[in-house]
Amino acid sequence: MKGDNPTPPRNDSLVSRNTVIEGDIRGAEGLTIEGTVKGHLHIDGRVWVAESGRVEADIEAKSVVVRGRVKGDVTAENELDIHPGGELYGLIRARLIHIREGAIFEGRSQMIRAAAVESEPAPEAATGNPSNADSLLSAQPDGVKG
Amino acid sequence: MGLFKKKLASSGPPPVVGSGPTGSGCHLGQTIAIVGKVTSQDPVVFSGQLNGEISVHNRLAVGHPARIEGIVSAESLTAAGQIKGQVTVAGSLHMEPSAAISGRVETAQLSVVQGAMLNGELKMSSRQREEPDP
Repeated sequence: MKGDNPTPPRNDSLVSRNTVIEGDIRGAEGLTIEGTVKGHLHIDGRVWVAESGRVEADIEAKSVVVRGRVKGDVTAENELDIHPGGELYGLIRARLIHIREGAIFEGRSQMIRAAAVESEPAPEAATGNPSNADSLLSAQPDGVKG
Repeated sequence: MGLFKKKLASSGPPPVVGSGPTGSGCHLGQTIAIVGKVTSQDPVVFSGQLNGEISVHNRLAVGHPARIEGIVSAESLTAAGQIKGQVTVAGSLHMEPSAAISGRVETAQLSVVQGAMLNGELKMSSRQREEPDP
């Protein structure tokens, strides 16, 4: 089947099966997880959670493949792919989401629109008085209808 | 005094510091930065940055240009990067020319290649050396 990607990239960093990492992990390369990770993952690349992988962490990455179990909020800038046997519990945000037959997903999903990834220019303040921004948020008086 | 002057390693353990994965072992590359704790029963090659603790019940290779600040313990350690903190090695500690360790070091065997830096407190612990099989 197209896009199955059954094996992780060989040059990824690898959290092997008998390894546990607890804490904050950042990186600019692919990361394959066969062991256990708890905490927070911020990877500028692909995160691959293998069958034996157990993740209790929020994940932010370019793309995420889940074949093991993930508990946490997952943000994939591009693609999130939950394979058969994979389990994901939490909030997912991605531009493209695959949940394959036999996969488990419990939680909420939110699609990232392509335009939302680009850095949007700050909108011009319609009132012409940007210093009122705080008060607009905090002081909505009485919700009066016209 | 001068308890731990450099001892040139004429027959040190084979270097295992490399840039690639070692079989089924754990491999964390140069761009990986961890604040926290790493525990493993597998051989580990660590080439990134760690602030915290790494405990390996197996062989640990701290590659170049790894930087570790905190607590390091391993069955054996080959170091080519920088470690600042407390290092405990049950077996042999081998320092490659690019290695720099500062802090408290406890090990059963030590080899320091010319160019490596070892500054701090050293304790040589006795350990039953396993006899090789005949």
